[in-house]
Amino acid sequence: MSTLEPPAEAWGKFMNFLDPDGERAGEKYVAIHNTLIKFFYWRGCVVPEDLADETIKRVIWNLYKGLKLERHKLMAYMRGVARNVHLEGLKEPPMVDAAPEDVGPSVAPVYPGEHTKEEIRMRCLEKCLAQQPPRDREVIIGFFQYEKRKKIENRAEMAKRLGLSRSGLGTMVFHIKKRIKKCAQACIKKYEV
Amino acid sequence: MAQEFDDKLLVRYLLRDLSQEERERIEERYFEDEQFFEELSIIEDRLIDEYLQGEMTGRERERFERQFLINQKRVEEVETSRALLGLLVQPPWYRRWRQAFQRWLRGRGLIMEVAFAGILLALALCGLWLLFERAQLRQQLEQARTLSQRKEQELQQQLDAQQKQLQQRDADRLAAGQLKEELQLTQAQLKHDEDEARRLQERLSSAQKTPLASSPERAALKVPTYVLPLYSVNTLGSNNRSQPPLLIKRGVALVRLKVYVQENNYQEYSASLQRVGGPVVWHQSIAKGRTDALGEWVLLDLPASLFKSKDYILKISAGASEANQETLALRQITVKNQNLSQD
Repeated sequence: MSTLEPPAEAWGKFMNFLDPDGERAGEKYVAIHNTLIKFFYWRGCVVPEDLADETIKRVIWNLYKGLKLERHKLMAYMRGVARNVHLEGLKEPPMVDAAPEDVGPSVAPVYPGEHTKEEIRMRCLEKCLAQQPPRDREVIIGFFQYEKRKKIENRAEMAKRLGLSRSGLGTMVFHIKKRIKKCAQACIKKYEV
Repeated sequence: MAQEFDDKLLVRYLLRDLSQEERERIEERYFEDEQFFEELSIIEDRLIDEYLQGEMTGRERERFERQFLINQKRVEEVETSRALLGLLVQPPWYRRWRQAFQRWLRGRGLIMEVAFAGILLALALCGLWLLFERAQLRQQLEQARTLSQRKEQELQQQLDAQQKQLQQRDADRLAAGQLKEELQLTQAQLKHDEDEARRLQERLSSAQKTPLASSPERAALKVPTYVLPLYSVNTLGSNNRSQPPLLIKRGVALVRLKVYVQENNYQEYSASLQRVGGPVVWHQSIAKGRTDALGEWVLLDLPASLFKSKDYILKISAGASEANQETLALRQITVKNQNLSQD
């Protein structure tokens, strides 16, 4: 199903279409890419990244070939293409996700010394948690304390103390976790030999 | 959050539990609305936390694992969330200790791991055995308690019975004591009576030995004896006018009459005293009399209080029954009793 890689000119045209400002265009591209990945995940696709790439390639090609599209309709068009990619993918034999143990030793990450993947991950998470601002660290640790009713009461009290709604507190915690996980992924990659 | 989509609907979307039409509506929305997309991502993150913290039902958990953990990357993502969650709820000192221990254990190789697993298994078995023993001991303790309570009750009942017995014994002892006192009193009274009787007997004996005239006791008794000559039945009226009256002096209590009767074959007699023209005032059976030179005689002892100052008829009869009695002697007596106030 793989579409041919668009030329650099096509990529440039697409990025300019997203935003004339290069940096903002890059941010928008990342956002679109993440949305497509989630779309395919939530549709149960095993290799969402590949399908997201395929979708963007087709849109780039179509724009390059002269498709007239208004900027505010880009996401609706993108969704349409993504649906088609998904439906086409359903007709093909199911893809099997290659587990790290099925891949050759040169691809699977190796960690130095006696450290296991879990230890490295934990160490990186600790490090990244420690790097968070004190208030954010306090919020995220406090958010997961207690159980059941006490937990609900605690979160309500935290939200009130921070001047947030309960959903606002949830959003804050989500972003803190996202930062920590992103930091931890980068940290783990450094340990890979 | 858009009012048209509530959290439950979005969770069902994430677990692919919606119709195609509902799914496309949500997808259309989050492709157009970045904020809605972020909110959906937050719900997804919260779903992962619920799964990791065991807050899902069995059906939800099964669906999550089937629909969500579809590739290694997703699994890694969940594992990272698990590690982060573990980090957030555990104190740092515990976490470092656990990692150091795991590192040390791994450093000792497979044998050590097996040995450690064996130790853990042995500890677990010990724990189970202790629980079992504890349950047994508790049961035995309960049984012992029940038995002890029963014995206590029995002992209490025995104690109550013994106390009752003791009380009864005290009561009996008291009664026995009282009886003993009464017995002693009775014995003392009896001794006194016996002494008195002995004393009286002695007096009587000494009185009997002493002649009548000289005996002050006999004089005190004052029993005069009057001899009444023999008279036949037919001579009652004519012979009576010449006889002096029978004088009973003052202080005499008993009157003795010596009456001669005709000799006969009767073994017993009866004597009666009748007032002339009045009733019988005295009657007595007497044994066969004695005999002297003057003939057979009988002695009659009558209380002096029987006699008024009047005329009496003394009759001596003989025979087995009253119907067959034969009058042997009759005597009219004129009595003057000085004991009476008129005399």
